[in-house]
Amino acid sequence: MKVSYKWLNEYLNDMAPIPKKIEELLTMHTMEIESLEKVGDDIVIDAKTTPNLNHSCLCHRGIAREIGVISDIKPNLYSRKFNLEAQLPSGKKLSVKIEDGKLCRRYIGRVVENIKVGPSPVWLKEKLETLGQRSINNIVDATNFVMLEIGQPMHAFDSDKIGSEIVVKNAMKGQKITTLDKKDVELDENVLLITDGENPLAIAGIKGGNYAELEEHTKNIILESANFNPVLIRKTAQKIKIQTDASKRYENDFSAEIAGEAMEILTKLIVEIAGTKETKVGEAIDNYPTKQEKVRLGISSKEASDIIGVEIKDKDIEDIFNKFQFNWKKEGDQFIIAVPDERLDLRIKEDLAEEIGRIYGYEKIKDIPVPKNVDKVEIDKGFAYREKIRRILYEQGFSEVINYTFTDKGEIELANPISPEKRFLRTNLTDGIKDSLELNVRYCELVDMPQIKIFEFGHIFKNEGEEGHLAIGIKNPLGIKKPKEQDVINDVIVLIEKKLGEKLQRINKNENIAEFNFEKILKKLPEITEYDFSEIGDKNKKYQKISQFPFMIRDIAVFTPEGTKAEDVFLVIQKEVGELMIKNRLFDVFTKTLEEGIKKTSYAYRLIFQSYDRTLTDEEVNSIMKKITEKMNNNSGWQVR
Amino acid sequence: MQKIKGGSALPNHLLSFLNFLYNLVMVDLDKKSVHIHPITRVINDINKIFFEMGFVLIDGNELETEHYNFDALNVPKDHPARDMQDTFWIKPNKNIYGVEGRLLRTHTSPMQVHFMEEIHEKSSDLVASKKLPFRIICPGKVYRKEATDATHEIQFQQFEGLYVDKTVSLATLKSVLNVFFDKFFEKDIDVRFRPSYFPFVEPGAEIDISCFKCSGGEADCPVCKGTGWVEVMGAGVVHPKVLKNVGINPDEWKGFAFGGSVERLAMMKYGIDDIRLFYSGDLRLVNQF
Repeated sequence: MKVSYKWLNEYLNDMAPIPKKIEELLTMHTMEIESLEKVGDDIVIDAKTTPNLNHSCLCHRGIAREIGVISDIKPNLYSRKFNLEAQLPSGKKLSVKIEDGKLCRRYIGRVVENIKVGPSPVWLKEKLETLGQRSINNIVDATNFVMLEIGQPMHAFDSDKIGSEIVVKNAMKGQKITTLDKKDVELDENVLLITDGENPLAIAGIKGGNYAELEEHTKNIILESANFNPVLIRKTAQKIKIQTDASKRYENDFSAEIAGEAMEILTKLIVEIAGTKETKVGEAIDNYPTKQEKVRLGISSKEASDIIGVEIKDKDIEDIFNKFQFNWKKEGDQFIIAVPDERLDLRIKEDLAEEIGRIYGYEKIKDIPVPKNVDKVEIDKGFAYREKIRRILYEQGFSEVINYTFTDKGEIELANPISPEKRFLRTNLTDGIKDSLELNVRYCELVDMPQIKIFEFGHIFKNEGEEGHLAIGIKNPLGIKKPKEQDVINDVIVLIEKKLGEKLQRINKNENIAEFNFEKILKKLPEITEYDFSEIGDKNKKYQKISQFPFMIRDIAVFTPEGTKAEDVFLVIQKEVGELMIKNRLFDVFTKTLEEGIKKTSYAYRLIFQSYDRTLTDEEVNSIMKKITEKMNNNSGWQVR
Repeated sequence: MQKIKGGSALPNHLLSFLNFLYNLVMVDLDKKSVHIHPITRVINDINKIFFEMGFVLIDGNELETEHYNFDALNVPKDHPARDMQDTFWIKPNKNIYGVEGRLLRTHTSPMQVHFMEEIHEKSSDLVASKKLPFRIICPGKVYRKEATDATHEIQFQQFEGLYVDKTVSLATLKSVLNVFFDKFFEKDIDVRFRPSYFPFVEPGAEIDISCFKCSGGEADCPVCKGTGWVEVMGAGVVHPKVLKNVGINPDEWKGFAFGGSVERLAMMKYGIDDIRLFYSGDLRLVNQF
């Protein structure tokens, strides 16, 4: 919900804290603030209202009231005064019929005659435009103003195009309506319509139709202030795929009680900004079949303290309830409030505890340790054995991967996939492992693996149900035959079997990938008495960004005089190589006696080059190698092979 | 100086020479250094720290019903709160998932409901049979239908904690979280609550931790953006309806619950800048750890 700082400040008699402070106060006491944005000489505050706040905070009054509570300022009822000009009564008849009072809880209609449609006054235009809304004309802008002011969506029809009747009823199957933005929408019998008895005027709570649309020359209007069933509006908006500012408010539910005051302020505003000397105002025809229930709710200071975990005194609750301007009284130890109509979020004791807690200040909560658990903590067998098997595999040089559950073929299909190639849930881990092997075999050098060895624990999904599986895979680079993939797999399975003391049943036939129904194996394994939490690996590693560009390999071997150390050789490389070398390793050392009886030691290094921002060229890397070779050859007794 | 190129269309003697060469060059690489997937490491850390605080680890299924994922957790059908978690629904067909309302769990919270229902099935007197009070921790994969980017994935892992006892409050919740984050980041971390809303708790809170990287001292800190705080999880006092739904008397028992993303902790702890890396099966990530 985007709100204007200036607008809020009008509620707070120009005593509102500065925007930065409001951000801080709302963040710590009411809701998250997405952003503060300067628009003209105003600041737009984007408040992230959650469903509980949406009942009352999708308008300036609701948010101004929150700021008022937190900063102890009493806000005004409205942001401005609505002038009450002398109004002539309208004699035009209007009746409002509601077919189902559960779907339309309240409908107030009113005729206003002899108004003049025209541009809005500057103050109104500015308010709407600051919030990113387009100014349309004085009537439409006035309805939007009321919605943004107190949260009640409003509507205006051209009354000359309709008779003297408003009927709220369900559409007929196959019926159509053309909306204000000229879209034809097909309706069914579950869509609620505002009609003149015959013609559809609007899709209730969602969008107006063009049948009784206001035009430049419109003189006489019917104003609507209504309240509809939130579930109905939500379902309809989803079905016809039209979401509007109005539908958002209706589906979040707000009090039907504010419809009356909304009609009053809208009428006054329209008379003020669109009225003429002949303007006549009709009676508000209020059909209110489903009255909102009055709710009383109580909490004691002990109950509040127990939930929040700090000592809340009676005096604290008094102060906080007074800041909220709750109508409260004390009965025994209970503080009983008459829940304000708009606060549909206050229905149970715990809701009041939250109001008390967040205004009291969560920062004042001190830690209270939980009691020690004296019972033995049960061990999850699956978790413990997964970790046991992982550790066996780590030791054999295997790494764990976690692949996507989503795939392009399977048995369990999604009703709403994110894309066609991710519309099924996987039925095995093997396919994912195969892809991972393909991907990684290109990176043997980068990932320090002569053969790619991976495994995955994960769930698979079949018609019969969901199963926990384990898959182990290995792949040699192209052309490399030894050690045989199959042998490595078999060896590691034998090793796991030995350590678990249980035979592992493979469920697939791939040579280089073995998959198991881990849950089946688990059932056969004995209970385990403890988790292995002993430290392995290096827990202090930090992530190094992965380059998306290709890498290059160069080997260099050099004969050095006896006694030369590997570090001496590496020092030369390091000095000349620059920033492009991302990895290096010494892969071969041997000493050879030459014909003259001189002993020479050969050191062979493999250097990996890669850039974070470009593809390296052969020339570039060759020239680096050339420099290294020259430097090495310059050392007496060194000879690059 | 020599370059090594791979290729399959080589004659046999060249192939075996190539194999010889490959093994000569690569053999020392096979040092079998231990690499642990950062997600696994974080989940193990979580389990270890909560185990030490007496929490029992609970594991569960990823395919769920609407009932367990939403209804039992006070998220009714056609309520705007459903929009807080975009859901992958299963297409009904003739298999065991034939009934309507199957989905991929959007959070690990269904585990709470299963656990509480099960302890009921096993025993009628929960206190005498030591089923109550209890504390559980449930890590696991969850799914959300969202646009993916560096911080959003359609699958990720959550961990959920639940503690039910006679006296449970935001203060005991705070102490448990303080212990967890201190141990997890191996430094003194502050925890703060901000008001928020999750249908299954009341009061509900967003949990921020003090920035483990700059401790709030740096305006251009990439982790906290200079605010000194990082949002890490949602939490609150279990909504009485949730307890009532599983037959635990909310007048007698209270609970606190918390849930957060494993990836978020892993990304913060190890400085990983893209959530999608965890699931790409890419060892260039895994083998760094």
